[in-house]
Amino acid sequence: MAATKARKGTQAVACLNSAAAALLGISAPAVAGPPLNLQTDIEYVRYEEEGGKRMTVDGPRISIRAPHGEEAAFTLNLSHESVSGASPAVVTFSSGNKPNITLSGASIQETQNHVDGTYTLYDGDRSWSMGLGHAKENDYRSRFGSLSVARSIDQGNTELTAGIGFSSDDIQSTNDPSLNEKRNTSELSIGASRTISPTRLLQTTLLNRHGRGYFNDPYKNTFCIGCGSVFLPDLRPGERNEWLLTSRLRNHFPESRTTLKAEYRFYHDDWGVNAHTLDLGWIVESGTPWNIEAGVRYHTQSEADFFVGSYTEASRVNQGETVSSDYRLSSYGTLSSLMRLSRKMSDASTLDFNMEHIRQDPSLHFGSTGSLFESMDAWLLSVNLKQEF
Amino acid sequence: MSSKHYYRGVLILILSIGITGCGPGAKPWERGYLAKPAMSLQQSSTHAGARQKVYSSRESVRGSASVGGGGCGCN
Repeated sequence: MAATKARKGTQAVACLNSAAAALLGISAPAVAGPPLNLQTDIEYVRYEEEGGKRMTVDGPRISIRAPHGEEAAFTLNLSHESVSGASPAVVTFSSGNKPNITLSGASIQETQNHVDGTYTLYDGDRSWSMGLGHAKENDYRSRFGSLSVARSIDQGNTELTAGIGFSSDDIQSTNDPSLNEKRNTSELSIGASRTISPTRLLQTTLLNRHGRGYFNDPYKNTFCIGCGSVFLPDLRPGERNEWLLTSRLRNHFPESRTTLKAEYRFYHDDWGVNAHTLDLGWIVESGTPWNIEAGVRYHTQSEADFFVGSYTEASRVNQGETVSSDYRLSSYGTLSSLMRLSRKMSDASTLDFNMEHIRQDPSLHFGSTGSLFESMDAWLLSVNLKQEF
Repeated sequence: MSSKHYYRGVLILILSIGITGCGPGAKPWERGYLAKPAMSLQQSSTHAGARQKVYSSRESVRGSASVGGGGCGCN
């Protein structure tokens, strides 16, 4: 009895110490060390909305992780995507009628290229990482970087991390060659990972992101018939302050050879958007080279303060005031179901087939029907090969 | 932030940090299950990147990966 009490007391102290360390931002998760061998992760992705009638995205993604000596590692990520299709361009409001959505037609054709690299130095129970990257689209360019530090404490049972990031973006428009705007963003994060038991891990991360500059979507407009036939280009605040709190749980059940993956994210920004996202996955080891994962993801968000979703709202907006009818700023819910078939090809390689169905719908908004104009279905399909050399 | 959302956020933060800090941990010889790929907390795989790109393009929320490179967010 006394021993049990003493053990519980020790656990409580460890618990409080870890929580206090996390609160103080002393820093985050376990420092695993560099990989022993070269690792590659290659995936081909296809994404299509409404059976290909809206946006379609195709392309490869490649990640390479290599050791550099015994105390450093380098990671390189590359992606190339071809984007084509149509997107909502103008939302027209007329008194008493439902909003009329005009698509851009099959006019969007572009490529998106992304490259980033991270160099990590390991020193006992600590590591330091520095990352740089570049992303390019027809009408957009981003240069970004990050610095992070990780420290492992409590015999490797707790990892603390802290990081900063920045990006500098140039925004242009194929509809308006004179448009050339900038946006700068900075990011600060702290996190903690904890080995709860030999079969359970938990991680919590808090992130603040602050952006300043051009946030408008130059391809979207709002039109109000009956209130002076006002034509309103998308106009958003020049600043955005975002908070994200993310918790991840991994729990393995040895008896059934299954693993639960759970992630919850709370989001808040000063545009009035609050969102909750729950992502669950259940992995079953069959005892053969084939494994299966089934999952579900639910997301619900409130609308931005300046979102216009009805004739009444549109008629109140004056020229020069912030306004947007971008569906992504409306209130709605997203429900996704996913399936992954995983085949172990050898001790060093795994082949995955991923299928994910995504449905956005105003009726999926938590608590009440949202302001999203119309529902949308999409598929995300991919084939992935992981190899260690 | 409305007071309702503020207090909810603070409550979630305190609970998350508290729970993260608890538990007896694992001894070095008890880490076999923790080394399984399914137990990884890393979000760095190509598929995680693809999912994040899709959802950040279709929702108002951009995830907690490193800043930048998320795209214009247009269309």
